[in-house]
Amino acid sequence: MANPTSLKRLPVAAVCAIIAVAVAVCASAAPAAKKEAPSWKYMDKQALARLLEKGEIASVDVVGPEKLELCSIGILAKAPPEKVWRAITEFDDYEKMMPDMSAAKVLERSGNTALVEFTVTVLKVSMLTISTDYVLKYTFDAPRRADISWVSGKVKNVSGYWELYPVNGGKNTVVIYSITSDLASASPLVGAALQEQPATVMSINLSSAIVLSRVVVDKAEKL
Amino acid sequence: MKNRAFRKTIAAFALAAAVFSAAGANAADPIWKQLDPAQLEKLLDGGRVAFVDRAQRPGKELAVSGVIVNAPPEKVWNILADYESYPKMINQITRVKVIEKKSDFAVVQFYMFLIKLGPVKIQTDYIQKWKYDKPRKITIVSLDEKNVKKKKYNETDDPANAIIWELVPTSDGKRTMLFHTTISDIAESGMVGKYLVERQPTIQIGFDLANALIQTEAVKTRAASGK
Repeated sequence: MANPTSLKRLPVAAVCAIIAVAVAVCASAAPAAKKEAPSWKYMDKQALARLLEKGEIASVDVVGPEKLELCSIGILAKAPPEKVWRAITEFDDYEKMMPDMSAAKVLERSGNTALVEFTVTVLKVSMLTISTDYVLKYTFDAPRRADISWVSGKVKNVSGYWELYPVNGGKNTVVIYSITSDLASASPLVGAALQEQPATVMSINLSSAIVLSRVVVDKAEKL
Repeated sequence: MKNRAFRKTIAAFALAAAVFSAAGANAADPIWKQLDPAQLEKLLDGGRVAFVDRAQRPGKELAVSGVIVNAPPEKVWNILADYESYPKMINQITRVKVIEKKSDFAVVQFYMFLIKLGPVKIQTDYIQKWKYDKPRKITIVSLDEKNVKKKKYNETDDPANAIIWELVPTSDGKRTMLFHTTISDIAESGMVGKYLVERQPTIQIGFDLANALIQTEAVKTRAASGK
């Protein structure tokens, strides 16, 4: 069936802007509901770990009154949950880890919460650099879960979570990262560009979730 | 002495067999074969699921989406091979031209929108050969337009880039587990594609996963509509 590989004439600036905003926004994670998505996180964790030895699992669920897409990634870290937790919560390192992130600054830390400001490069062509920033609130239940919610910034409705499950006797970790964001809220131009392109929105959200979960796992495995 | 060595050899084979049997699947198998059918059915019943499969083809990242279709495999097969209905099934596809239709393959040209931004509508098209392995598998390869014009349908594409549909009957054949494996190369498509992949390499797998998810969902919806 359709497998478009020719993107020759896509407006570079619009697409790059969308992607960069999405990547930035996804440097974060959501509050728990009754039976929280994704459904596969309720699978037996050893079976899930065996599956993740061969790759990653991804899913898209429609959630909330705004009917946003919650993109979830499951990935196996060959490191214990404590190391993965460090990789997630050492926000100062996000700048080095994430391709489009120009700054990540902890504004406030108290008890089990943190407010973190992220600055991302939306577009960089020669001398021209356009950036955007946003603030996310993290609520920690170490080393098991971190909830993420939107505080301020152009892209709204950002929410999600990280969840960690020890497997293989605690030597490895099944890492679950779920994130949603309302990319269309970034600007009228972005909103118009995405309106008729559900595949593009999903591509960007999945891509962003994958890049962050991979860099976190990579860092954890090197700690 | 010989007996002891023989017993050791047999024991080693038995152990190896047990290990392989526990693994349950070969390295080259699709990732979803790591799960037993009951686990797999439960997983797919939970919603839209996809996998990044790194084990099936060396050096390649494949996007694999799975879905349960409430229809027997024969009906799902007919939906997949009903090319003319694709524009109704998938938003982005605007037109389909069936160039050749045989019992064991079809050559089809798809026209689709890459982007719609107000009055700006960018369209592309491509030609594929759909090879039938009835009733469980379809393998899709890209064809060169020049060869197609000469009615030469021998594929020149790398088999490692093949796109696959697989149909697995479940619930006593009343339902189908449908899997779509896809891979593309955005970077090869031109300057913009190359820039995108250089800037964020995971855009490639994100793009393939989204396509796989949308296409399996489209088939499921079409089967549910009963049309």
